[in-house]
Amino acid sequence: MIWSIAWKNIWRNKLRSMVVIIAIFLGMTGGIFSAAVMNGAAEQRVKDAIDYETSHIRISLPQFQEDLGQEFYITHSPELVSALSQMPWCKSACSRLKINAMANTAHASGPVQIIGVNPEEDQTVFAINKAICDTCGSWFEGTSKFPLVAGDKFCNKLKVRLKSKVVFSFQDQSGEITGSAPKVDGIFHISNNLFNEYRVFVPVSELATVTQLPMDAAHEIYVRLKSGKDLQMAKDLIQKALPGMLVQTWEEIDPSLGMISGLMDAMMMVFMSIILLALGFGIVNTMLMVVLERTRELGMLKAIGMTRRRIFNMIMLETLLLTVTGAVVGIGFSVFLVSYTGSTGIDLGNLSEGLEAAGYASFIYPSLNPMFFVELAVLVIITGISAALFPARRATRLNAAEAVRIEG
Amino acid sequence: MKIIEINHLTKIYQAGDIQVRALDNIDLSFEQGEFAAVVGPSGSGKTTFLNMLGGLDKPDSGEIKVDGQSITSLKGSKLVNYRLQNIGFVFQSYNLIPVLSALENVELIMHLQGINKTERRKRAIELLEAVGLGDRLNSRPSKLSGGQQQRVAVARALASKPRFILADEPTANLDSVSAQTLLEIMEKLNKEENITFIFSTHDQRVVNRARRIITMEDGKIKSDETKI
Ligand SMILES: Nc1ncnc2c1ncn2[C@@H]1O[C@H](COP(=O)(O)OP(=O)(O)OP(=O)(O)O)[C@@H](O)[C@H]1O
Ligand SMILES: [Mg+2]
Repeated sequence: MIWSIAWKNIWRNKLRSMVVIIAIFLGMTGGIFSAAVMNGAAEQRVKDAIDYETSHIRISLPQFQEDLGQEFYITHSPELVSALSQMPWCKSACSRLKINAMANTAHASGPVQIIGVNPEEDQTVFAINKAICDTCGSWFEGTSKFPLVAGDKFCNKLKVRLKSKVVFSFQDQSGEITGSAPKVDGIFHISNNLFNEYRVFVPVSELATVTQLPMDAAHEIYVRLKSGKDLQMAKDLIQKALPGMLVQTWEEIDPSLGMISGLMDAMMMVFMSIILLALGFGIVNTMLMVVLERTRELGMLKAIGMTRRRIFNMIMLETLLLTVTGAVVGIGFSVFLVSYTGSTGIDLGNLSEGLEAAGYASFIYPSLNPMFFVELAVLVIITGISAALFPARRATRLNAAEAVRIEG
Repeated sequence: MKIIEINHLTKIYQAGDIQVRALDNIDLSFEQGEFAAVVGPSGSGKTTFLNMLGGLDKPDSGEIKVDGQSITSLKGSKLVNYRLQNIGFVFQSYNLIPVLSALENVELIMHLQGINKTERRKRAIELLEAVGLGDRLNSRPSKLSGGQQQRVAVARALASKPRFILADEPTANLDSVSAQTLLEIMEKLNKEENITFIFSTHDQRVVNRARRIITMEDGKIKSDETKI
């Protein structure tokens, strides 16, 4: 019966309750949606990084990762790749050479990393072939004898187009400066502009030849898993089989990626807490008005036999119901909004320059972890209870005799 | 049988630096089944007196005993529960919860007493029928006239099966027809069910119906007459 009184009381002043509920609704929707956009961007960043930059697991010699000394290579890499590919959790694997070089054209020059790939094998692990637009050439399917696939940022900086020649200079195995001059066969664009500027791809056979590395050499072997859930298990198995080698997961390759999701979670919660804190003050204020307006009625209830505890509980319940109603409506609508925009995606086109400079896609699919809603629900309850305490206490302070005496 | 015994009851209000003796050394007692009116000019202490009897306010000295038990020493939730179980209240106004129907308003007090739903519903309907509102069970107070609202309040006061009912100017906001009806109902309940009523009033027609008339002045009992 107290529940029903509390619920009915909320609708006594419809306008006022609606204002509170709408405020909670807007606060929740705005907060949740922004959180979902941030989270979606972060997830996209991680996914892109795995697709284009790190894959799931990387195997290399520990010395190689110290300063990319090209003499620290893995031998018999084709056997290793095919052995890895046999593993039940492995979707595919590929090997790469990686050499620091200077790129030169008639107009400009700059440092790059040349990555030697087996084009067929590499595209089973990485998706760079899909980051080449229709008019931007292809992933090593052109006619040039010595092809190059480079990022759009690289091409702009060095002022090269498809079919242009770029001269690279680097050291070979014996420390001699050597060079090569491939022609641009494809231009890719991913959401990480640093990658677009500093990574270029050539066939591994050509690179091995000019650097005088053995044909079966690889600086890095990358593994793509069937499911990201197997990450730790796969890493441990590989490490056990290859004790001398450095086996790293994507989070270890790029620690900032691992931090993104943790940081994002914390930020979203801080963000929601601030919104709820503001809402909480509004609720306290509204409920104090309610208690003040109902002085006589509450006094009457106390007079006829409602204890302080019951009056306290009634106002608590009323405040909580008001808060939870707003929150349920807000969360419900947000779930719809997030899942709708999560499937259509939203285009932050105007912001794309800035976002991509930071490695983020400009087309974002908002998404939220279900845990977020659980945490949020807890926050809402805490807010409701805290906001209710003060008005409810105030209500119990009434003196029944005084309250019923007020003439009117 | 004596149910209320009042000894040397005094209440002093401090208004600024003036002391008001709202109740001045009152000795009185009430029997089971009385139908008593407390009358007197404005400010004579009627409300203060009824509030003391109802345990809504504390005297400065003196004692009230109900069925031999002192209620002036009860405190906090003990006192609230005492009121809930033993005293029925009818106030001049603001008796009812506006969001509840007549039926629910009557049921609420039995809910507070912990009476189960079927029983309290049954009793609430009976009581509302007894005060002539059998056809307005589901009306909210705002849809009832002032007189009807006071009748709901009487039904509510009866619902808790109290030892006695206190009514402070129950007819003050009513037109004379409604006031007469309310009084008739109270009188009937008093005669048929032997319910004890103590009420204050300014209204001479109400006074005329009382069997005992206690007249107050300046916090003192000026006269106490019982009709035979
Ligand atoms: N809370 C209070 N503070 C100070 N004085 C008070 C207070 N309550 C009542 N009084 C004073 O006590 C006296 C008795 O008041 P009370 O309300 O009991 O009179 P009453 O007989 O009910 O009057 P009325 O017929 O106008 O209702 C009055 O002088 C009043 O001013
Ligand atoms: Mg009075």
